[in-house]
Amino acid sequence: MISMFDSAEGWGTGRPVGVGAVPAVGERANLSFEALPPGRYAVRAFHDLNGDGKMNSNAFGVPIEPVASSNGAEPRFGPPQWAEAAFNAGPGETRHPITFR
Amino acid sequence: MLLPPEQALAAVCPSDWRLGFRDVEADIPSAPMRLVHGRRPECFAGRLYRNGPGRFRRASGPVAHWFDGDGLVRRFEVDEQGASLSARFVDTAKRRAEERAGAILAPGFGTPSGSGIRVANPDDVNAANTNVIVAGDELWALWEAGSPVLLDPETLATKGLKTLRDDLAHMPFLAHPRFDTNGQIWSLGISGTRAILWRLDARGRLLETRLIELPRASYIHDFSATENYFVIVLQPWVFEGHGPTIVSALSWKPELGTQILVLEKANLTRRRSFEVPAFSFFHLGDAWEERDGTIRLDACIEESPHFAVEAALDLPRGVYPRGPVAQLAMISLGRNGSGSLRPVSVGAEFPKSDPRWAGRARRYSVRAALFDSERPIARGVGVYDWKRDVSAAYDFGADHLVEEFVFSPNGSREFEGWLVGTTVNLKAEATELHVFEARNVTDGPVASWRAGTALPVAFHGTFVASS
Repeated sequence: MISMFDSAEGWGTGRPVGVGAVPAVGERANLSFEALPPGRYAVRAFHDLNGDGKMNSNAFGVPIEPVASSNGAEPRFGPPQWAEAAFNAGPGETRHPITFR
Repeated sequence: MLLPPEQALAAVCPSDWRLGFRDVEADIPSAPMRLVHGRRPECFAGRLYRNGPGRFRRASGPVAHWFDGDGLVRRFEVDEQGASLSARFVDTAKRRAEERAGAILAPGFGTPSGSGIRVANPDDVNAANTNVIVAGDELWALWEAGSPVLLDPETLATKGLKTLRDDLAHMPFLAHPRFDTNGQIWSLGISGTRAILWRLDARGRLLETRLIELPRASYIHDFSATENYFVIVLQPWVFEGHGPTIVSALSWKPELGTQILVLEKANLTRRRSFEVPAFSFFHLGDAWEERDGTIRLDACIEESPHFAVEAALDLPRGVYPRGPVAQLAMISLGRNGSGSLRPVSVGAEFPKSDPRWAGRARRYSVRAALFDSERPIARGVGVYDWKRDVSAAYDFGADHLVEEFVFSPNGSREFEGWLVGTTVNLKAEATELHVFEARNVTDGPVASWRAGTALPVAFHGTFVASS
């Protein structure tokens, strides 16, 4: 499950400009976000291990499904900062890898 | 020729306490220990597992707190053949990341985060270094802010995080669970004012969890229990906001006093609250109920968290700022709602008692005892008799750093059995294993074995008697 954000405010308040899901079969999967204007974006994703469509957390709110962000930005007792995860996209097609560790 | 600082110091001060805070560079394969005193009692055989920080330094420098070193689990084995010691580091994400980077990275009790460490959940920085317990066939290394870590009881190899239920992955689990006489294992996991109560069977399988709200966000390292109640001591050392380390996020507010919550095991909504004078603590003894309903428990208390906030930061750097040591005290919580604190003016840490009397009215507590102001760590073992209000102790002398001693039964009466524990012999530069007759601590150990190496001072462990 993948969410794309176009601003620090959106990133911080959980308001994406695009969301998508792609089955995680094998080592790679691709998802395209189309018709977005060129600009700075950040992506965070989680691996929906139990297929319930939600990023599951434990009783104290700690994620228990694998998470990943753009730029390989690392979580630090919470998602990484917008500034660490943001990358430039466009004009034209931009490919950005998200790697789950 | 320039010597490394530890060697230079050792040349000048041969009985240097810093030996108790040196790094172990690698796992230690099983090696025999030499009997150096007495004889193994015929009825004494078994395995002492212990855990404590075993590595403090990387190329970039040391951890900034004693509590943040990598967990090194030790296994001392005693049988007819003699005694042996093996030790193995817990294979944690923290240790792997720091090994790769050649630097201390994980934020911890007193160590701020280095750059580049991934912290998706608390287990990414789990040091697995505080206690080691046996649950059925399993061996668990405990920390407090994350999961237990599963180890192989024979080889001490790390098998992975112990997740008690999938949706409770990475939940905290205190290093001091209580083992009741029904065979159940109880623990807490703390996050600010929220706590999870864990109830496990004797084999470590999860039976139940409950979420509990606490009236203050105290630092909680230990809790206690009677047959029918939980006792949660809320010291006035409370989390306020966030900090780069646990210690930096805690504020000492003695004006709040110490609040003690008593919850009924059978109905957790039934709770009583007691006020006692302010103190700071890490460790409590098993609690009990008197016939008149008064709840009692012993505790190792300090006037303030000086040791954790100041002294323990400096220990990995070989510095000991003097300060007061923890004292043994009896806490009483009366049926009429009044709480009292009675210090008994003996230095005390690592309190233990006869596990068959867990939750029941009991007479004896064993502790690390006899503290010098010049150096950290006890130099003796003490037994307190709560019936006669008398302390008895054995002094190993200035050449020993005395660690936790646990009780192992041998006989049907309370405290009939052995005291088993370790010291770091600073003169011999070796870790030693000692056995005492519990009811005759002043006679000194009945047997002592010496290892071929000195391990750093460890925290807590478990003795498993051979049947």
